[in-house]
Amino acid sequence: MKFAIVLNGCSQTYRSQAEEIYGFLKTSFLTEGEGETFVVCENEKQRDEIIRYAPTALLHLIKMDRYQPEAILHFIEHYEGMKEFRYILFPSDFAGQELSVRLGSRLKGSSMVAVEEIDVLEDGVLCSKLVYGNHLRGYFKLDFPPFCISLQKGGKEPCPIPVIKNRQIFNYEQRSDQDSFIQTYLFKRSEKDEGLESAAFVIIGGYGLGSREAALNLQKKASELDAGFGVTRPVAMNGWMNMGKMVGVSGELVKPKLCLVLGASGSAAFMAGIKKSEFIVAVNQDAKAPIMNQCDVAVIDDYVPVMDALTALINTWQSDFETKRTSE
Amino acid sequence: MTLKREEIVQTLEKILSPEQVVTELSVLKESSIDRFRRFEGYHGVYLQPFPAAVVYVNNSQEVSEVLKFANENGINIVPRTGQSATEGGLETAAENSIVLDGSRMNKIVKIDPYNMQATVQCGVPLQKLDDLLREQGFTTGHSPQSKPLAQLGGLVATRSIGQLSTLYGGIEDMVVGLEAVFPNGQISKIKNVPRRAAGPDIRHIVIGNEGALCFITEVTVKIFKFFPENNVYLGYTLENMKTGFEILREVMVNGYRPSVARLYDPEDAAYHFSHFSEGKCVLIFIAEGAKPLADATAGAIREIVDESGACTPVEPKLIQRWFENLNWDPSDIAEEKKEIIETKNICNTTEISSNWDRIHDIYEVCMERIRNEIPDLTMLGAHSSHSYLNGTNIYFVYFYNVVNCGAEEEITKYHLPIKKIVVEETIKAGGSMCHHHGVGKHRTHWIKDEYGSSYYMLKTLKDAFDPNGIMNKGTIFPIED
Amino acid sequence: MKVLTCFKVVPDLTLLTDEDWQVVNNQVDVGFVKNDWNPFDESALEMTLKLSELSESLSGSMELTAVSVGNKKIDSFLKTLLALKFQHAVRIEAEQDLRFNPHQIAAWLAGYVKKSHQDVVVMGVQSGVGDNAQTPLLLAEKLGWPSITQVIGIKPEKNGCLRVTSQMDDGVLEQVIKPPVVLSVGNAPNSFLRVPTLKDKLNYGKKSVEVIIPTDIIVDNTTEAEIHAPKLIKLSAIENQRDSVKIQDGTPSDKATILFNRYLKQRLKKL
Repeated sequence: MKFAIVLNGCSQTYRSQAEEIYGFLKTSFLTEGEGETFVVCENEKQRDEIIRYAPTALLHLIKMDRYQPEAILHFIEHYEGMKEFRYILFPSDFAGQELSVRLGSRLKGSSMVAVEEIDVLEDGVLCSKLVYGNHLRGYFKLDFPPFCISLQKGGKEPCPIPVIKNRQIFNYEQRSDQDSFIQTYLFKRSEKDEGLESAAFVIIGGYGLGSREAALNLQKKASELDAGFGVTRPVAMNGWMNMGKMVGVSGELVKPKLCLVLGASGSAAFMAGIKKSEFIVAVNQDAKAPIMNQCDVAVIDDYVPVMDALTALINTWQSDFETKRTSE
Repeated sequence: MTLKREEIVQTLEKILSPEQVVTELSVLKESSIDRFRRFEGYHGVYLQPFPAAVVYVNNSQEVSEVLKFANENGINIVPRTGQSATEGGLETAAENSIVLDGSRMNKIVKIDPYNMQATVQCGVPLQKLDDLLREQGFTTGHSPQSKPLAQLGGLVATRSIGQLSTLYGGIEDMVVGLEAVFPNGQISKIKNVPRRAAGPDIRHIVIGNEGALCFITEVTVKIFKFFPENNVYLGYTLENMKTGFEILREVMVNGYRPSVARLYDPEDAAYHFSHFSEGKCVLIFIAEGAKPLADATAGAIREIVDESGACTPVEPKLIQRWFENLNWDPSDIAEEKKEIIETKNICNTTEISSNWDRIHDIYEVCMERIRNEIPDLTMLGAHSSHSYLNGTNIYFVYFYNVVNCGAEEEITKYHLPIKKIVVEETIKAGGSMCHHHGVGKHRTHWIKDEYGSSYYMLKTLKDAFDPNGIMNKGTIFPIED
Repeated sequence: MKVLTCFKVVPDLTLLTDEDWQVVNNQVDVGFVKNDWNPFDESALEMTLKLSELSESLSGSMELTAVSVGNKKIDSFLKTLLALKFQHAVRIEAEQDLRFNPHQIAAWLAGYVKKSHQDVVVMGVQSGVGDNAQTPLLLAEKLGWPSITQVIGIKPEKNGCLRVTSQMDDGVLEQVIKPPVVLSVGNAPNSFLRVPTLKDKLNYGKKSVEVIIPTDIIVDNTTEAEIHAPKLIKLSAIENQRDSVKIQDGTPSDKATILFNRYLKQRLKKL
């Protein structure tokens, strides 16, 4: 079953888009051999990276002045072979969302955003996605091919792309007047945000730290692990750490992928500050502390020795992982 | 001779330990106000004198020593626990105050299901105690909106009341005994007995003292059997408040004790119940307790309401869901802060009480005057939420846009003029200017009018227990120069 | 310039308890909790008001219209917008369940946009319950207009242009564009709608909400919209509660190892 993938090569996130799609392909019924990837790119510099990490052997490289949805849609819509694809896949990012829906409309197909999984039906495709504010999972039938589908953020585990031999590359250059409504265009690439609120990994210390020294020690450890560092209100109110590091309703509201909470009991005001975390691990000596029933994993013990052992494990693993990743 | 800031801090560090004495500037700032000045706080404006230190005490003995030191040196003490005060009670009105924080005294001393009482230290969060009790089939019966934040010491000190008061009473009906520490260092413990006729009830010197007489270190409260499965929720819409008050009165004077009995005016109802109120008043009851009691209470209320012929029932589930989400959710508070900063729109409240014969008059005249006299209002509503045999309360709720003035003027331009109208009209009608938030620091102006000739008794308590005037200056008793 | 801001009123799903998440006939009853602005739409409405204020001094006033789809229960929201000085508050009358039918909504909105000759459409990228995230995109396609998504700021420019700031996946884009355009608002820094005073409610709230019957505005054929809408086959519950797996046996080091191998390794890999 032929399918296409559309990626935005103008973005620095290209490689993660590709790995996300590749991870999705691995768990779906689609086979790589039947796919073709369309990548929009701005300049020659990106070419090598784009080719190296394209998730299929067959690759269409479309050179454009910049990422501009009107122009991209115009190109893809009018690409001759488009009718042959039954599925068109897009990553979970902003570009993927807007392109999937609009292309679906133009090709008279069906589209769906933030899709978790797909399943073949006799006369269509079954897509699942989260609805009702992530409270329920909905299963939808899409009737009209091409099925333009953008993925759910963090849905499937991304998968590194192996070296693919026998690449077939088709080059296009697209100048269009589709974006003539734009008078000026100024793009500012964002710096990596160091703030606690945007950190992917956060370590938080609670009143169980017991002293300013312990708080400073933990802060140091967090920075070594490349994690954001926060404290609960009692820690800040006791003057062990400055107020800017406070997490909870009167401080920062964090939403990391991984939140490690040490020595905090889990007052409602604090829990509200971390509840959007994807995964919460709590370490506390008190098995009855409220946080122990509001986290994903609870380790019942003194946080100090647990944290020491954990840091060692992470450090060893990290160096292994880096070596492996660069050698791939 | 008054001590310098550094000297106060040094001595406190000696009495306690350096670790218990916090002088971090951001902590001091944050500790100089409470929710009354949250608009200023959200805008980084702190106009109260910063305290010399925030002091965390671990036991009654430490409290005693700190109070003695303060008493001998004329240093103002602001007692606190959960910090959910709304009326300025935690503002540090005097220079170089000591904020005496009891939140580390958080042990549950004893739960005694046979005698149906629980003893806890002042820093035990109500939520924690009640959750623990509910696991064992009991409850404190106390459920103020501040439940997720407030701690027992502060609740007793402010004469708190909860949403279930019509059945369980206010905190004054729940406190069996307590321990408090006075400015001279005296630690006094009132024993836990069912009742006694051995002179005046001295618990009431402590309950509601708002930190102006003593520091509460331990309390014993009643516990009740908890039967949530028997709850019956009743909700109605009706045309006017007058009829609503009549129905509430009818329920009360006939001796029925729903846990919740509430009446919302159309504006307040539109705020809470936009999904069903349709511009009308809303009347709510919850009957709870042992099944025969709950059922009988609900049945009788239904009859009274039906007889009035003025009410349309609503789906009970609407009431149940609303009730379950009534308390301050900490994430709502975070959201509120962001919203206030962006929109400059803020909500404040004033709560009063009166006998049945004047309650509707007070409601009418206050609504009328506030609407006409206060600028930039975006919402003005009221509800009655605590009823008694002889009367009920009104909780005025008002939102306004703070425009054309600095953050520091919010209180004088809007909040205090509204409070003045409500307080003055209530006192004029013979009601009480404070139903359950406490006097704090912004209703002291009218305290003598509130008490009349009985102010003598109140003032004598202050003079006797706090002769040097070190306890929470400006709270309950106005600062008189 | 005529600006149309589209919004949806949504139930506050956080107020529902576990037992409320019962699926009956492929639906969950959300009727007994409070309603509120869809947050993205709330940003869009406030952004529109700010745009109009800025435009006043630069190029004269804008004509603002707010539109929503539903029954008369949402009129109080439309009245609030009249009090905030939207000149028109329009409700497209609908009783049917449109939670998962952005195609239908987009078709009606497109009909209204054409009929009322709007220049700019502003709305949130996504709204609760359906979480479709498709309406503004489908609307742009039906109108044949360009679209900018994830908008976080709009300012007026000379000659009838707009300066639009939007989030991209790896940065922020600022463009000066010439309408017509559909702007869909993302995570804007200011997300709350201002509150009208009681006085303004009295003065401006008297205006009535314009109610439009869908058949009056449909220009293209409705059946196409219905056919292409994905069909909801079933809804199923997801485990929202965190597992709270307890690790309590062995030495601290044993516990750290279990924690790391079973739970953290895979997650750290994703970071």
